[in-house]
Amino acid sequence: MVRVDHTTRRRSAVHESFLKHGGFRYLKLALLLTAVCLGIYAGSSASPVRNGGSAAGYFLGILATVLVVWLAFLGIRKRAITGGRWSLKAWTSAHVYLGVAVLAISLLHSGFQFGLNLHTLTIVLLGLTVLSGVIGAVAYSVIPRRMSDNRGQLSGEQMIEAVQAVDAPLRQAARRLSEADALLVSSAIEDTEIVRGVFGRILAPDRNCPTARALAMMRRQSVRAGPLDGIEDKDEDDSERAVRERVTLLLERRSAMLGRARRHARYRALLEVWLYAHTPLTFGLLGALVGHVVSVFYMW
Amino acid sequence: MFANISYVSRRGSRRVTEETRQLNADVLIAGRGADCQIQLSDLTVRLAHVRITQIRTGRVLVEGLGGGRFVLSGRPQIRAEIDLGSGASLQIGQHVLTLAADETGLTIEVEEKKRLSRRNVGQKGDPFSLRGTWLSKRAASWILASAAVLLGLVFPVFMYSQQSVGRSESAATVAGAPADLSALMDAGGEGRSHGFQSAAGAIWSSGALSSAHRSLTDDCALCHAVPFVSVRDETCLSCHGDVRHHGDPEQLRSASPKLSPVSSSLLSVSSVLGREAERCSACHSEHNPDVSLSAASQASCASCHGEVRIDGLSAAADFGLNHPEFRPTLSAGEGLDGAALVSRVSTIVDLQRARQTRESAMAVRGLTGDCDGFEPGRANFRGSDGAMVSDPGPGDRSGLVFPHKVHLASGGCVAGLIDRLGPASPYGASLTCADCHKQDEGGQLFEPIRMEDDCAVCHSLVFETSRGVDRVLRHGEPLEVIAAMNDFYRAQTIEGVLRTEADARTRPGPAGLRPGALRETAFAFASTRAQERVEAIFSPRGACFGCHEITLPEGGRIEDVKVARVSLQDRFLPKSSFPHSKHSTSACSTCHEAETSNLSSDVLLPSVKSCQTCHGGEHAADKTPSTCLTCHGFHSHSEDIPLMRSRAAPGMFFTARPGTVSGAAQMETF
Repeated sequence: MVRVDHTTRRRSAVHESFLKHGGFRYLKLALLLTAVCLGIYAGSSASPVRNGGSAAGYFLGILATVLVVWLAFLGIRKRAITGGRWSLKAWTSAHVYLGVAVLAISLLHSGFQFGLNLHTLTIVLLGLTVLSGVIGAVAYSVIPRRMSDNRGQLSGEQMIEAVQAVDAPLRQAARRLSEADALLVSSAIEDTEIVRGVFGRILAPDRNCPTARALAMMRRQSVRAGPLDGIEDKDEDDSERAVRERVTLLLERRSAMLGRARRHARYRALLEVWLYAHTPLTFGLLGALVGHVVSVFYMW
Repeated sequence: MFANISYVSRRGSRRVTEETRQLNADVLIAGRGADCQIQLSDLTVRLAHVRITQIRTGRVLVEGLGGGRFVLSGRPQIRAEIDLGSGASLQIGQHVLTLAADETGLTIEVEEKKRLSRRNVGQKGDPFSLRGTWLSKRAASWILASAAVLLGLVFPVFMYSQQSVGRSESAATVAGAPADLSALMDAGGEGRSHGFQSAAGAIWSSGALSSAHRSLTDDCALCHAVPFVSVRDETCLSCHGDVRHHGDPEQLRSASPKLSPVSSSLLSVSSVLGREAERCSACHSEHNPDVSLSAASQASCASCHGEVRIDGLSAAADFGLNHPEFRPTLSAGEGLDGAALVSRVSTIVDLQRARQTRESAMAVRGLTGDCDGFEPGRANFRGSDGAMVSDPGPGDRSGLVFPHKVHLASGGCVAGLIDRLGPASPYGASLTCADCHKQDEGGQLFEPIRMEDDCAVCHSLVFETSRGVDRVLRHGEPLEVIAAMNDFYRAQTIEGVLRTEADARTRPGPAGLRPGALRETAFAFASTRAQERVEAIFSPRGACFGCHEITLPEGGRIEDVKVARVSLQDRFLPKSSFPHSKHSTSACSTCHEAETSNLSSDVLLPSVKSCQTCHGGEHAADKTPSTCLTCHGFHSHSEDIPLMRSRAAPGMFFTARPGTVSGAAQMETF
């Protein structure tokens, strides 16, 4: 029994992962539930066959259905943040562990009979839903720390501003560059996507980046220009070189800022993207589950 | 040319002039370079981009330098003469140059368009969130959920309702009795292979039907007749009407094991849902292609039979480890009304022990059981002095005298007889089992032994040969035998008398015997002769006595002779099947000790241990795994096989069903 007193309140104020909530209370509950269901499965008569249509199968099916509906309620529940025993964190912790347990229970319910039919579709959708949820749980337990390391104290908006802050001096510095170089820098400023598309921001945030391209080009040219060339026409070279160096420096800065913003975008996307699978899969699962439940009683 | 150049920017809707330059030059260069008269701070603009030259007042020439282009009236151009009467607007990169001319000279207004970043603009709120992307939880949820409901629910329900509507209409017209499955099957034949229908069926079907029912695959409504009502037993019975129950349902229920609280609560869950435990489909689970429809594990039998719950039933849980000794159904003589009796009391072990006792008793008396010793094979065997040797003990009381040992011996009297038969003999040098026991067509058991087919080659029923014609007695009808023999001898006598009288009439001389006296003497003789012969065949060494247990009337009429009723069991273990054909690689003597059997009361069945040398229980690793159903049936389709019921009291004798020789049937209390 946990008494919700001042001590508890204070402790809960300290950050504790939703996975570890209450000393893994819901992990233990989920394990216990799975063990009980395993016992029911193993203890049920294997004759004529173990599947959803046996007495144990009905029980496990009802249990799994109730759990799935309860799990789906997190979508509604999460919009109301409350504290205490039934805090959103407790609810989320239970959601994660019971969500994994419900897959095990459903497999026991199925008696591991699969086929090309609605019933297997239901369990496949459940499996995908749970898988996406597990990915989400892993993301939520791994990424926030990295994200925090990456962002320092900056907000997302400030990160974009930090990129854009380089634009004006860069534009200014590049005014004296030759046509081709100026266009490169212009493209770096104008065409660089800070946050790319859904796949781009996760899989290849830096591929074909105009800023990176401009930076690479500037560096390559300064290597080619080299120190020997500079001796012959010192004054002119010096001034052009100074411009180039300044532009290169600014591009480097822009690139660094971009990298940070893009990592931030990637982390944010990883934190969010699983939910774009999890939620629709949940609704698909609920649809299939309705079909499954109605069908087995309709065609009894 | 005098030029007034002003740089303008917008702050909201306000235009602000940032800087104004006046200069006097022949040519104006616009570009990014520091030396340009018109400064355009746009990196896409060339260092020197265009040259503006005044041709005359109000008219200028604009030329792109080094390929520099500008946009005029919406078209990119490289060179243009422009009349500035109504002003003109050039676009170079991000800048718009508005040109106007008056008397004083040229006015050029340079405005940098607000730099609209093509990227990350127009995104509402947090640019890092996926919310602004094409991804949509709501749309995907709607699509998936509705696809699942349409495909998984609406479509199958629609197809099913079409199916059942069509079916009930056609069934009503064809049969008028929609519950009759056969009528429904006939009625539904035409729409059977409807593509959508089978697709809908496949979506809902939890697995293929068993091979026996597979032709019903697309006709869901055939078995699932009423939505939300589980498949009813009547539906099964509409085809399988002859299936008999395992036993009295009340008794079965009382014999069922007590369920654990978990199992009983699980069962109550499913019965609350409307599924009773005692249904055909409780055991015969369809849509499980990997499991035989009639497969039942030995555990499911052992759940009731593992312990003795009904008096008289032995426990059985595993054929290899825990199976009672066989208890064959034996002939038990005849009742007072002459009906055949059967008994099922002794086990094979009891019977084998009794056989040994009898053998040793015979040995003590010096009886060897060969052809000429005592009356071999006699069940209640009496010595040649007629006294009972000993209590015969339990055995088969078939009423027949048949020593297997004598018949199967390779030398001895039977072989001698075969030898005497010569080419007429259908047998080899000596008899084999198969000479008399012919396997039935099913390969299970053997055809019943028939005297005419199996014995008469040697055991001839010819009692006289008259004028080259064998006179044969009718088997199995003692009174008819007696009558036939009397008739024969009387007829012979009449013939003799007539012949003698004819001789007397034709012969001259004094009359001999008075005809009446002759006839009296002759008929008396015939009568005596017939009686002697009749008594002889019913007496030791007589044709009947050799095989039958016969009680001669003491001093009464010969017609009161009592021939024991013969009832040969053709099925000693009627509650199990034993396919002899599958065991044909073993010699008969592997299981049946016939070659040493002297007495027909010997039961030549093997013990269960003999079976257990090869067969083990369902989970046997080193023996042929055998479930209960390998030998036993749960249901029975035939009235010849008794229901699996307990015996009311052990040791009782029961009346065989009239009309069958075997009489294993109708043991209602078995």
